[in-house]
Amino acid sequence: MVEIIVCFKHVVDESELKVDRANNKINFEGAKTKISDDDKNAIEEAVRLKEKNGGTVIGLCLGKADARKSVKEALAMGCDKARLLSDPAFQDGDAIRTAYVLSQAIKRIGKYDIIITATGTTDVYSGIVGPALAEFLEIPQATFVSKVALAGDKVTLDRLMEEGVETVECDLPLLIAVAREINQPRFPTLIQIMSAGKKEVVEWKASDLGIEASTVGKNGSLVQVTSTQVPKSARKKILFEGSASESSERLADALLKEGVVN
Amino acid sequence: MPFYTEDQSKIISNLFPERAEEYNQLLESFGDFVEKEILPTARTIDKQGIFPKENMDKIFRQGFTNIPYPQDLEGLGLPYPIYIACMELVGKACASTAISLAIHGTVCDGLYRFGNREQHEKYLKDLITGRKLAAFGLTESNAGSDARAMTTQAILDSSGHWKINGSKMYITNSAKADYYFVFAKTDKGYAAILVPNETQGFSWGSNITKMGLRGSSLMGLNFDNVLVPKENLVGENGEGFEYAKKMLFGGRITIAALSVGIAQAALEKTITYSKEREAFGKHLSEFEITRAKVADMMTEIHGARLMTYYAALLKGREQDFGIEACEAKLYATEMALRVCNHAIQIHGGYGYTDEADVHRHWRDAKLMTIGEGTSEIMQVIISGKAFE
Ligand SMILES: Cc1cc2nc3c(=O)[nH]c(=O)nc-3n(C[C@H](O)[C@H](O)[C@H](O)COP(=O)(O)OP(=O)(O)OC[C@H]3O[C@@H](n4cnc5c(N)ncnc54)[C@H](O)[C@@H]3O)c2cc1C
Repeated sequence: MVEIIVCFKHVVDESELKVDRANNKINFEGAKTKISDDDKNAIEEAVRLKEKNGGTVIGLCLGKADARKSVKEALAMGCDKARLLSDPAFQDGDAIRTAYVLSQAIKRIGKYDIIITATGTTDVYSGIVGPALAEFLEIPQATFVSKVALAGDKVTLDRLMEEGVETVECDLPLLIAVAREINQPRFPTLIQIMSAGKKEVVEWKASDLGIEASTVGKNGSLVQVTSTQVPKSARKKILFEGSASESSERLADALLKEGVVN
Repeated sequence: MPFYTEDQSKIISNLFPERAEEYNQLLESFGDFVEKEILPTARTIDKQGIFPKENMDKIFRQGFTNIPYPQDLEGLGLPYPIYIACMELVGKACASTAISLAIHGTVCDGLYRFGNREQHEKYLKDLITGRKLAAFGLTESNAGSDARAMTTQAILDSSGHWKINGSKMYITNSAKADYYFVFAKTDKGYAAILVPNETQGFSWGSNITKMGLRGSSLMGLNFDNVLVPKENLVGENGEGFEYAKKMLFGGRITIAALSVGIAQAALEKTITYSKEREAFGKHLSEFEITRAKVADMMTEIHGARLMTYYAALLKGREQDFGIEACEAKLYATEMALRVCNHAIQIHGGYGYTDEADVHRHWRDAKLMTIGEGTSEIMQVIISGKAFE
């Protein structure tokens, strides 16, 4: 039996975003939303571990009220219940504040063996929340995890390094930040989606978690996002004229100079 | 663009204002699944003529055929238009898969409406969940539009068995199906009889190759003194032809939905291509003539979708829906051909090549104006209403 808490974020669907050409800003209005892709890997791994070892999976999501859609999806994928942390005070917090709020919620849940997060989220990909959360909870952590094997009170983990795989062993409890390669998230069936609506979802506000509103969200954060801009990628459109051999030579020179080839 | 389109979502929201959020989440998720799991297989299925068994199993596992049936039959108890919206999504992804599922669905519908309790338990549950596959055997070599001209015969013999002799032609899911819903002439007119695949004397021909829907299975069936227990009669002896007509009315809504899906796929490819392809220093999408075509495509798809979902709503509410189903089928199938034709045209020479994978949609759509009643037969039925 293993008690798992999996954290996931409700984000805008980056593939559906439109750019306002006039000011180079992203138009978030009416944008589609979803569970951050890699967080689906985290949920999938949590559910697989439960299916194999027995136990429960609690989904944990910090977000606005519209995150209920993602919460339902996580429940459809196999989480047994969920906690949605939703309070205007939490809004626009940086990664450390997010990790702090999550840690308070986890302390309130109390019992756990494994916390699972993704290594990063598709919207900002700071890669901070998982490790910071482990620090707040004072438990060991493993990031970039591509394989989890549980035996008794010990887990063996593969970590995806740039040039190879590192295998580590760790006692429970611990935090695992999974890599996208770890699994292929399932598509919940229609009946699973329908019955997800009947599972327990509790909403917690700052006061439920003993959090002083001024210490979280925008006010409590060290990092402030002042604007989001789209990088300009103007094409150079250089034309090399002349005979085929001349122009191809000049093209090769230009490519070398730009460092495109070497 | 999300696979489950905004137009679909708006229609569903307005058909079911109280459950809009729930139904849209279901359909969005199903669309996501279809896009990632089914769509990537469509081209190979067409090119190599592979029967889409794997796709169908995946879709069955999602709970697709379960959608409109009550929970005591392992159904999901959802409204019929939800099933139709899903059928559109499967048609958009892979029409070969969708036609095989549509025929299977037509048999489920008939067995549900005309079968008895034991048949529901023994056969329908397995079909609804996709543990078993069904085929619909009406057409014969000399009896297509004029199905009453069938000569396949069933006689109730003294041992309490139906003895069937004759043959059927152009039967989808042949050789792959576990149960064949077969229509035959009897002493009292026509009867519908369920024939399991492993019955002695029952056999099928070789696969008939065709211009589109190349993944689906199409064969003739032969009945040589086939004996099935008398309990395999569905409904009443003598009512078979009425059942066939009623099943086809329902089936026509699924064919209409499938056609809307095919047209939607062609439209989306066209929009993408016309934004990329340049001529005379402009993108095709900047030419007014291209835009006018795209506007017509969108409008016709929307119109066909409304007719289709409306017919589905009537069916789900157990109101008369026959004429509306025929109108939806007539309009949606012919519309799909027009839309796919525009799509090929806007893709230019590339559209005509195999590389582009655009003519597949036209080839697939063409069957829709023929199967489950031709466009002309739709005109006969609809106009019959005007002059009754
Ligand atoms: C891919 C495919 C899958 C199929 N799957 C199945 C299946 O699973 N089960 C099954 O039972 N059948 C199936 N069919 C058969 C299909 O339903 C028939 O082909 C169709 O009903 C037309 O019959 P027919 O081919 O005999 O054409 P015909 O009836 O010979 O028609 C020829 C032409 O004459 C026209 N015509 C006929 N009567 C009239 C009239 N009164 N007024 C005006 N015009 C008329 C028709 O519209 C058509 O244009 C399938 C066919 C194909 C090609």
